[in-house]
Amino acid sequence: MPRNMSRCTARILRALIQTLKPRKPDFDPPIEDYLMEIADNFMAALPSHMKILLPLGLYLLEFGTIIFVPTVVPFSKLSLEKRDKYLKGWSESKIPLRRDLIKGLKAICMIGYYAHPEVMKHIGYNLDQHLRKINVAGIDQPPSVACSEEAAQYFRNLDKEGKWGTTDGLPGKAREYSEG
Amino acid sequence: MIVTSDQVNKNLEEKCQVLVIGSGAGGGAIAAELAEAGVDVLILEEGGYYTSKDFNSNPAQMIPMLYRDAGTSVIVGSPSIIFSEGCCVGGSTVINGGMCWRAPEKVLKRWQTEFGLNGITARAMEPFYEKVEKIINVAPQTPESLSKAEMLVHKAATKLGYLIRRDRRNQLNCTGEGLCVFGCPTDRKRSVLVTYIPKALAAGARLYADCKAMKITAKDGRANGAVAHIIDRKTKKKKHTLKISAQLVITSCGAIQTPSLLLASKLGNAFKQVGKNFLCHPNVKVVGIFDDEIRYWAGVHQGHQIHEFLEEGMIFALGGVHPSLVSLSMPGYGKRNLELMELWNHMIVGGALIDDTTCGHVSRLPWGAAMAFYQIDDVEYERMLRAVALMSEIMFTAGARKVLLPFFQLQEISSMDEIRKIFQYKIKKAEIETLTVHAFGTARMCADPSRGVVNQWGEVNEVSKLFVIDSGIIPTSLGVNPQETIMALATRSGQFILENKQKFIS
Repeated sequence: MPRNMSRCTARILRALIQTLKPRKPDFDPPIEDYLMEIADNFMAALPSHMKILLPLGLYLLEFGTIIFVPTVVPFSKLSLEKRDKYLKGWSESKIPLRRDLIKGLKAICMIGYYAHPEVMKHIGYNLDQHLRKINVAGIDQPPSVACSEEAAQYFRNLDKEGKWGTTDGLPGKAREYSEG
Repeated sequence: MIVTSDQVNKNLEEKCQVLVIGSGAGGGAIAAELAEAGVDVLILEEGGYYTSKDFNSNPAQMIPMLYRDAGTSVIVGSPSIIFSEGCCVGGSTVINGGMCWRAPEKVLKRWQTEFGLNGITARAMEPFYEKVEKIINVAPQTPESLSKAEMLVHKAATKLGYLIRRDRRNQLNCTGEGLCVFGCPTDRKRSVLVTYIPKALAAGARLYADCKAMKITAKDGRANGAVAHIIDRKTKKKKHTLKISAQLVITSCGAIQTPSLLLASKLGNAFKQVGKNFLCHPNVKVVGIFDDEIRYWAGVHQGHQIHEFLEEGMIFALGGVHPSLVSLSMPGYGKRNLELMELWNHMIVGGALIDDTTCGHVSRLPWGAAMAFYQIDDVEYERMLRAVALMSEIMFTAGARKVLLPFFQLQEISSMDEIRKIFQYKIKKAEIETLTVHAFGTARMCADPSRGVVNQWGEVNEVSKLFVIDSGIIPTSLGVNPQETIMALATRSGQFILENKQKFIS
C-alpha cells in the first residue's frame, strides 16, 4: 500500500510503470510492486511543490486521453498496447512540456528498474564482483589489483616513457602561472 | 559534536561566535579554518549526517538520501537543465566526481579587470590552493584505478592530436570503484565529510544536521544569528525550532539556496543583485556503443579530461555512473530502452562541460522554495552542437560503431561521415538534453557594490558581520570543476576573518 500518495495517484503511477518498464518477450521480471515501493519512497523525499506538481502531471496524463486519443477512457484503464501508443505520443510530442513530463516520470521508473539485482545481472552489471576484485588492500595502501590490466599496462608504459602528461593543477595548456 | 533531528525533542537556543550555514565545500572549509584557530563555530546542515557505512551502490536509496529534492531539481528554461546537488553533511563534495582544478589564470584576470578583484591573482591564490590540496589529498589517479574506456579515449584523443590531461582528484589510494556519485563507500574519496568536518569537530565545532536555516536575523544592519527548523528526516517536515545567536554569520548554502536565504532574510539586496548572474556550466553527453566489451564503469568515475578546447569554452571527459542514471538519457522506454541497455558493457559515456556565455537568475517562490532559471544562448547552443560533434569524433576514433546523441530529433549516428548531420538537422535548443552539477554567480564578488553582493572577501556589502562563502560568490564561469576554488576562497576568507578578529568576532 502506498503511504505517500493517494490511491488514485498510485493507480495512474502503476499503469505508467507497467507501460514504461523496459521489457522483452524473453525478459520481463515481475517487479512492478518493487518499482511502486521505490516511487513511493521518492514521493516522500520530494520538495513540497513537487508533491503537488507530480500528481498533477499524472492527472494530466490520465485525462489527456480525452484530447490526445481521443477517448473518454482514462490512461490507467486503457489496454497496455493503447497506453504504449498514447505515451509514445507524449514522449515524441513537439511540445517540450509533454516530453519533459514523460522524461521526469521515466526517471522514477528507471532508477528502480536498473538497480534491481535481476536486471543488473541481465545487462551484465556485476558490480559486486568488481568491488570484491579491487578492494583487497586497506585505505592506507595503493591499489594492488588493476580495474583493467590492459589499461593499467598502457598507462604504466606511457608513464615510463614520460608521455602520460603532467599532474600540475592548472587546466588547459598552462603549466605555471605567468604573472605575479 | 553532531546533533541529528532524532536527538532533538524540544525547541532549542544556541550561542556561538561564528555560525556557518551549510557544510559543503565552502562551509566545511571555513568552519575548519576558524575552529582550528580557536573560534567557537556552529555549523547548520539541512541534509542528514551519513558516513561511508551508510553508502551503497543502490541509487533508489542513495539519491533520496544524499541529493537535494531526491535528485529532481531542475533549472527552468528551454531546454530545462537537470541539476544535481548534494544535501547532506559534506554537501555536494559527498556526491561529486572529485575532480580538482585550480581556476584558469585567464578567469582570475577577468575577475580583476571586470570586477575589480585585484587581490585575487593567480599567485596570491597559490598558498590557499596548496593548503586545500594537502587537506583533501589532491592526487592523480594510479594506472590500476583506470578503466579500459579511459585507455580507448586516451588513445583516440592522442591520435587526433588533442590535449588530454590527467585528472587530479581528492582521493587517497582510489581503487576505481566508480561509486563517487552515491558517496564513496570506502572513504577513499576525501570529501569534506571525511576531511574538513572531522577537523572542525575535533577543534570543538558543533554541527546540527537535519537543520534548515529559514532566516538570518539582523539588527541595525548587523547580522546576529539565524532561525532554523529541525527537520524530521523521514517526513521532511518541521519538528522543532533552533534559534542561534552569533557574532558572525556565514552562509554557505550554494549558489541556489544562499540567494533564497538572503531574500527570505531581506538582507544584502539593496542593488537587486541577489540571485542574479546565475551561471551553471550546462553539460551535454554522448554514449558510444562498441563491438568489444568495455565495462567502462569498472574503474574510477573520471580519470582524464580533454582540454584541447578549453579556450573555446568546452572540456570533455568520461563519466562513470550507474546504469539507472545512464538509462534516463537513452531514447525511449520499454523494449527500445532495454535493448539499448543490454549493450551496457559495450558503452562509453562521455560528457562536455560548456562554459557559460549568458546568465540566468534564482528566485524565491512564494512558498519559500528556491528556483533557478536559465536560458542557453546562441553561443552556448553552437558550443553544445560542436561539443557533441567533437565527442562523437573521439568515440568513432576510439572504435565506436554507433554514437547516441542528446538530441530529440537526431538520436544516433553510425559513422564519422554522419557527424555532419548534427549541423544539418537544425536542432532546436529545446530539443537538447542538458544537465549540470555546477552553479555560480548569484552572490558574486565585485569591488563595485552596485554590481555584486559581496566584496572580495565574501563580506556582504550592506550588512556587517555577514559573509557568503560558497560557489555563489564566484563572479564568472570557471570553465573547470569548481570545488577546489570554492575551498581555496573559503580558506582565504577564513584567514581574513582571523586577521581581523577584533572587527568580526569581538
